[in-house]
Amino acid sequence: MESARDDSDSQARMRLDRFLAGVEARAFRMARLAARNDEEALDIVQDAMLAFARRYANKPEAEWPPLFHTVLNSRILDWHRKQQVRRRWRVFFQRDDDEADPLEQAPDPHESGPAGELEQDQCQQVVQQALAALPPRQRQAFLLRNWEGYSVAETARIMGCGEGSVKTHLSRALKALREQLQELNHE
Amino acid sequence: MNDEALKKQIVEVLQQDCETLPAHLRSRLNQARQQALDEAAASTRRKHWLRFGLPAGLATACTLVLAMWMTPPGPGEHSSVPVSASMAAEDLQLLAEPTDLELIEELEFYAWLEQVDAGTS
Repeated sequence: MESARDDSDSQARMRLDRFLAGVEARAFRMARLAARNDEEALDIVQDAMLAFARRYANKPEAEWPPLFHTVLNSRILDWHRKQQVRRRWRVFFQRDDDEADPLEQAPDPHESGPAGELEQDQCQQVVQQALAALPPRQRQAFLLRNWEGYSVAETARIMGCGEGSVKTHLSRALKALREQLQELNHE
Repeated sequence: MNDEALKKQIVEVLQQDCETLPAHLRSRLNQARQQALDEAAASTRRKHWLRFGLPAGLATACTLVLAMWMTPPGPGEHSSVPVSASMAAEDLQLLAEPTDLELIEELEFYAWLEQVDAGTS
């Protein structure tokens, strides 16, 4: 009986491993577009994976994708909220003779420098910039609907809002992306 | 470019971006995944224990207590704690009464008094 349970546990672990391996890269990109920083994005994805595994690993496998994206979406929006609070405090404590923080000015070692950027596919850069510039909820709605392929109803459930709101976010996101891509292409 | 073509282009770029994720990031994601898998296993064990282990343990403990309570003392044996319904009620009454602080504070005096009483009688 014990060995039967061990078998079932190891099969469950394999299934979960396969699922997480299938979504982790996209989850990272989604978080990276929000945080614009690899380390922060990794933290967001790790938190989401842990919370998902703790709460929902025992749920039926078919329910995993929307549940995982619900957790991820909530982690991304939490990150935005925390950033807003941090920004407010930073403004509050900003000195008159405020000098640029050398740490903030230091280039991100994982971020490609100007030379690297030139080498990278320009289109990729332009699209990423346009997506990163979107308001968080618009970006999440766009990515969940168009990239992850959820229906409007599923996207609404994941984002914890109404279908009407999702449609509004989607239409605004598309309009903004079109405008930004045109602008960026002209630059 | 129409809306569908724009969406398609964006999705293609994102997809390509995922496929070219640097090795160090893939490795970090793999580590995060392994931690999540361990957490899932631990969570399953906790839930399993809460679902089966805890009730089973409680049931065993209750059964043991009941068995000790109900079993009459055998011939030649006498219970170290003679229990009767009236005594149990008295005990409960004693427990429910507010504690006599004076008695607790002068416990040694009362113990001595008891010894003296026992000696004289």
